[in-house]
Amino acid sequence: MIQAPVAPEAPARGVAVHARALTHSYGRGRHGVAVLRGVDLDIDAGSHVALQGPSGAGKSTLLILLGGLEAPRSGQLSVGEHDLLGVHGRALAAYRRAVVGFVFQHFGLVEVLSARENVMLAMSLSGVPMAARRQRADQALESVGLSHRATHRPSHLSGGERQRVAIARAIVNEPPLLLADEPTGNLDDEAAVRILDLLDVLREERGCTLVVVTHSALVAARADRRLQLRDGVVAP
Amino acid sequence: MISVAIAAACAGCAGGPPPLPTGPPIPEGGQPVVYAALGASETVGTGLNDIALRARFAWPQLFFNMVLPRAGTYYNFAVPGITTAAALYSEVPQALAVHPTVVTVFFNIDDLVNGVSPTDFGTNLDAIVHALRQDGRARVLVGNAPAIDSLPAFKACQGQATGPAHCPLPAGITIPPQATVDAAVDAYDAAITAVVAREGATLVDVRAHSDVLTTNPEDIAADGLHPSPLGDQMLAALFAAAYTTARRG
Amino acid sequence: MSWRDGIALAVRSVTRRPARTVLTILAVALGSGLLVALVAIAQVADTQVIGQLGKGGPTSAIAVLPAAATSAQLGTDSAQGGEVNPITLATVNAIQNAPGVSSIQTVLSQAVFVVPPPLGGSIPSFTGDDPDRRLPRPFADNLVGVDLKSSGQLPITVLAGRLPSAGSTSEVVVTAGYFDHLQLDIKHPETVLGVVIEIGAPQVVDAGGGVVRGRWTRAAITGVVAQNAAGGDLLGAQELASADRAWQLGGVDGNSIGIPLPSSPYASLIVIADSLNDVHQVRAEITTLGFANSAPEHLVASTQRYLHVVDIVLGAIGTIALVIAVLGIANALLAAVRERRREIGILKAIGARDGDILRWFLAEAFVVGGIGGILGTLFGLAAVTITAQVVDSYLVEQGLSNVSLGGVPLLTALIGVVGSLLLSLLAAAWPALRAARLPAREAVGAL
Repeated sequence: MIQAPVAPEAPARGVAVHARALTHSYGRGRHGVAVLRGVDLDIDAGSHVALQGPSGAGKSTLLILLGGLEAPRSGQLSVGEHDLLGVHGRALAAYRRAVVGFVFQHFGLVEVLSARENVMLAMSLSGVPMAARRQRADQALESVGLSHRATHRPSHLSGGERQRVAIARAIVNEPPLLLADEPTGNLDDEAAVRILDLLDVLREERGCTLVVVTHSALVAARADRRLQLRDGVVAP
Repeated sequence: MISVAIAAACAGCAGGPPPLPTGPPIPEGGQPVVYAALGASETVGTGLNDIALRARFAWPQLFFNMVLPRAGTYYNFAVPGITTAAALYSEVPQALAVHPTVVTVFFNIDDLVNGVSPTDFGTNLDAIVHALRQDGRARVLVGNAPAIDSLPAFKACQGQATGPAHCPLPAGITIPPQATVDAAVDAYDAAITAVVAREGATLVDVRAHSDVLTTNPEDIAADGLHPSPLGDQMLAALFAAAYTTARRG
Repeated sequence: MSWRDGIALAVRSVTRRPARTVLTILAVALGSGLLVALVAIAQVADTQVIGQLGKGGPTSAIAVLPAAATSAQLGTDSAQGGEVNPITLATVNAIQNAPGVSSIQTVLSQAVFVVPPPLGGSIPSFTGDDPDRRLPRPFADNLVGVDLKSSGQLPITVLAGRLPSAGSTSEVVVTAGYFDHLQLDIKHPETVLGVVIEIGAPQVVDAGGGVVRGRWTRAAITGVVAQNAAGGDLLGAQELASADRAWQLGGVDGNSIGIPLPSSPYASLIVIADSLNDVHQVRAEITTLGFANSAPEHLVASTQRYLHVVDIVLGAIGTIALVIAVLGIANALLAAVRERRREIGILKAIGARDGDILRWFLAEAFVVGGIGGILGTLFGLAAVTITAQVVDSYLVEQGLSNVSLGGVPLLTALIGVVGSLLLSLLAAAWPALRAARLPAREAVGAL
């Protein structure tokens, strides 16, 4: 188990998510493909939600919209105080830096940077002063139990260690919304359990909202709530 | 007299292998000296019948290059066949015009051949040396006369020719007996010694080396009278040694 | 992301594909090196070629000869002279007052007899019956006397050693002709440096009797030169030539024995015009005064035109090479953008703006272009230096001046580095923009 520092009680720093008649499609006109067809969704601040459903149901697209990677085509989507409809470019990038922490199935680490530098990269994008970056990166790595691997490049880390670096990078800016897609998809069972434990600890400690896209019943079982997407809508 | 004919046709002069490695013994630095050579045919380099040979081997040239500083200038006012009486009115004024600081004076045979008495010779030589001394501003070296009775040319005049040398005396003039000649040479050298002493000049004792200069065939030119390149080197060495000794003294 | 962070990330990124990075850097290095080398060589060549036209002196120098100018004089660069027209002090003053004249250098040429070493006590002992003892023969020549304080204004080029000290009467320099006289190899000028020779000036006392007296001085050879001031294989201070000249003038004319008195007080004048543009006007004035003269004015003008064309062609070749090289940067960056689509998306997902991505790729181009530019410039300068040395030895062999790089290539080097950087950034602009505009959902591949 990860021996992360445990806060006496979880601070309510997460954000609530509300979506109404949310649609999204790729392409336009006759060639357009509607992926989300009217999603209605409410996620409480600080909750842990698992998004499930078959491939092509729109799980990843919903994560893209929640993460501010694209603006929705229509409907309503608010994350905390942020209304994401019609938000583009620099404003959307600012939203991502301020609100979202991503954990990718394939880790998404920059191979030529060490674990510490990967974590620091997120801070450099957020404009954190150089002097503070190293200390905060080391704190983040410590919180995922990887202080001793700070100078190692991803290629010298195991899959579980890489994912923990990715988690450290995701939390270093202390985002209120943590998005994870199949965070254990590339890990063996033992490593998967340790990552899930870590995510639980961090969420409890930091009070952030955690949305996990997964096919795994084991992962989904950890969530407070499980939502099923089918054909671009949330199944009842 | 040095005949410096600036021959345009000197293209053919060059020849032979590259020059030998040299370390000229020309003294560096020192006060610039002006050297004037006065004398007759020996001083011109008459035994060296080639301009280029004279430019290198005439004994004043050798003397100049042996002991005088690089910044020195050298003039040769010698005229073949000249006597002291004539030199007093031609060579001496010309030499004084260049304000020499070192002078070599080498007259004897031509006065002897022309029958100048030792007394007149001494008087003329005294006047020459006195003028050239310039109240002590110039160091004057005077060479005395070698014994000439062994010279091939002298022997030719006596009808005892042993080589290609010819008697240089005009037809009709006969050479006095050897004892008379020797006595005259002695008297000349006595006069020279007296002049040197009187005028504070330096004697170059050529006579002391007569046995080499006038008897060794390699020291004598083909005319049997004048020095060969080797003879010139010996004469130059004598003058150089006297100069060096006098300077030290 | 700041520029500093961008460069730090770029430095790491270029190590991902070391072979591609090295090849791209080499391409830029070759391009910039070629540009620097060609431009520098062109500039040095310009300076040297034009300098050569001045024979070591200023290109605005005009040689005035003691001969009457013919009517064809002004139409040609070379001297068109007829009968003797002595150059006197009055001539000097008249030319000095002409418009466009900057300065005048007087040149003497004195007939002398030269005795090469060994001298005096260095002559080896007598062996055999060769009266010359196989020594180099003394020879007749001319001593050219110039004002050595103004040697920069004279058509003199030092090939080895140095010029005599100004005013020194015990130092001379020699030309290739001296080597010819002594059958020495001009390829080894050091063989004569420091050697002391004896120089005799003649004074004809009796031309009929062939009575000539010498004024002898000695001088150390301090250098080997190519000179066009006047005819003669020895060159020394004007003081030395003047003293020899005065000695000769103290005698009589020895024309019948090959030692004529000098026909002109000065052997030539070197007139320096204010600028190349004034050369023609000054030549016209000198021609009007009645003196033959020469200056490479027509040659300089036509040569400058040709050199300008050569400069353009060489510069264009170098620029094309550099452009091709930086296109390599563009190609490498486009490949990098293709490879890093997911990474770009991830960076955007964690908050990167378009500008951050733009900076990242521009910084990569800056690093590659900078390293390539610096290496290329060093390579170019090395190529120029080596070329200059090869050309230098050839020129010295030919009795011409050596090559001076001067400060021009350093400026060219700076331009080479900065140019490489700017062109690299320009080439990187499109790939960097493409990368910056990739949608953030490219990260989806990783989701």
